[in-house]
Amino acid sequence: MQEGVDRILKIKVKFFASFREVFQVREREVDLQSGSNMRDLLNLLCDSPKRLEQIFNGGDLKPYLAILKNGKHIYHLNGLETRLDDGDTVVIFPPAGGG
Amino acid sequence: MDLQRYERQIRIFGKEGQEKLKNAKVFIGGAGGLGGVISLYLVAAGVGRIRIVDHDTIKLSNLNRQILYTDGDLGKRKPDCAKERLKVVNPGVEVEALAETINENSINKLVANFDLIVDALDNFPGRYLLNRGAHANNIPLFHGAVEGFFGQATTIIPWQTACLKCIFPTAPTPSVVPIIGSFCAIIGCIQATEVIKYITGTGMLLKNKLLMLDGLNSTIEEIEVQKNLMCEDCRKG
Repeated sequence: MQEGVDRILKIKVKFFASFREVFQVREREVDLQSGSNMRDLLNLLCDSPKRLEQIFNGGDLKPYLAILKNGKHIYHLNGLETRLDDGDTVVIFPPAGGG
Repeated sequence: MDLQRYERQIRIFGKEGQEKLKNAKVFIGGAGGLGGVISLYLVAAGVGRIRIVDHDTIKLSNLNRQILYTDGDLGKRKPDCAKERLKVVNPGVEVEALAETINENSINKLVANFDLIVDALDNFPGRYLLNRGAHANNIPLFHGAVEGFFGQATTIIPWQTACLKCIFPTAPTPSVVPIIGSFCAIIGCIQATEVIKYITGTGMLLKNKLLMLDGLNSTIEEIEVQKNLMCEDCRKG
C-alpha cells in the first residue's frame, strides 16, 4: 500500500437472532475507509428506518444490544467510537433473556 | 450405585464418572422452562444432590414449556411440584426445592457448598446475581437463555473465563418474552450436557465461547468471547 493512499478496511459482520431477519443476511463483509469506527459501520448497516430503530435510540446505541468486536463487547472498549481495524469481526445481536 | 440404571452412560465415562455425578451438588436457579428440563436430565443422569430454587406458582401460560408441571398443579408452588416430579424420575437423587427469592442477601447462602450453579432464570438482573455468587464462592456457572426461536449458552469458570458481565454488560429490559417449549428444551439440554461434561471431565466446555442457536434457520454457531480485564464482577484484585 502506497504512502498517503487511504487504506480500505475489510470488516466481517455477523448477525444473530432476530437481526438476521432485520438485516436480511447472516454475515457480510463491509469495506470502510481507514480510520472508521463502530458508529461509521453501524450507520452504513442501518440503511432503513427499521434497521436504524433496532440499533439506535436517538444518537445512542440501544443499551442492551450485544455488539462485540473480536469477542469483546464495545461497552468495554470505546462504545460507538471504538476504532475498527482491517480484518476485524463484528458480531451484532439482541441477547435472549427468557428462561 | 444402581449400575443398571446408568449402564448406557457408564459406557461413556465409566463407573468413575458415574461416581463423580453421584457426589456432585448442583444448584439450579429457576424451575421454569429451562430449569425443568435441566433438572429432569440431571436427576435422570444420577447427579447426587440438586437444589432448585423458584418463588413462583404455576400458571396456565407456563404449561407450553414447563414440563415438570401439569394442569393439576395450577396455583401450586413450583418447587413443591418440581420436587415431587423429580423424586419420581429418580428416587436415588436428593432433591431440595426451595420457594425462595434469589437476591443480594440470599445468593451466597443459597449457593454455598454447591459445586455448580446453573442459570435457569428468566431475567438478567437475577442472572447477574448468580454471576456474582459464582465468583464470590468460586463455583462454575452454566448460562442459558431463550427468546422465541433464538437462544444462547456459555460456561463460565470464575476468574478464568469471560463472565456474564463481560459478555453482556447491560441487561435487556425485563419483559414477557415469546418462548416455544421445544426450543427452550434445546437450550436447557445444552446446559445440562455442559454440567455433565464438567462433572465427569468429558469433552470440551463452552469456555470463552457463546453458543448461538437459531431455531428458525436451524443453525448453531460459536462466537469467541473475551474476558474484560476491568470487569466489575470478575476483575482480579
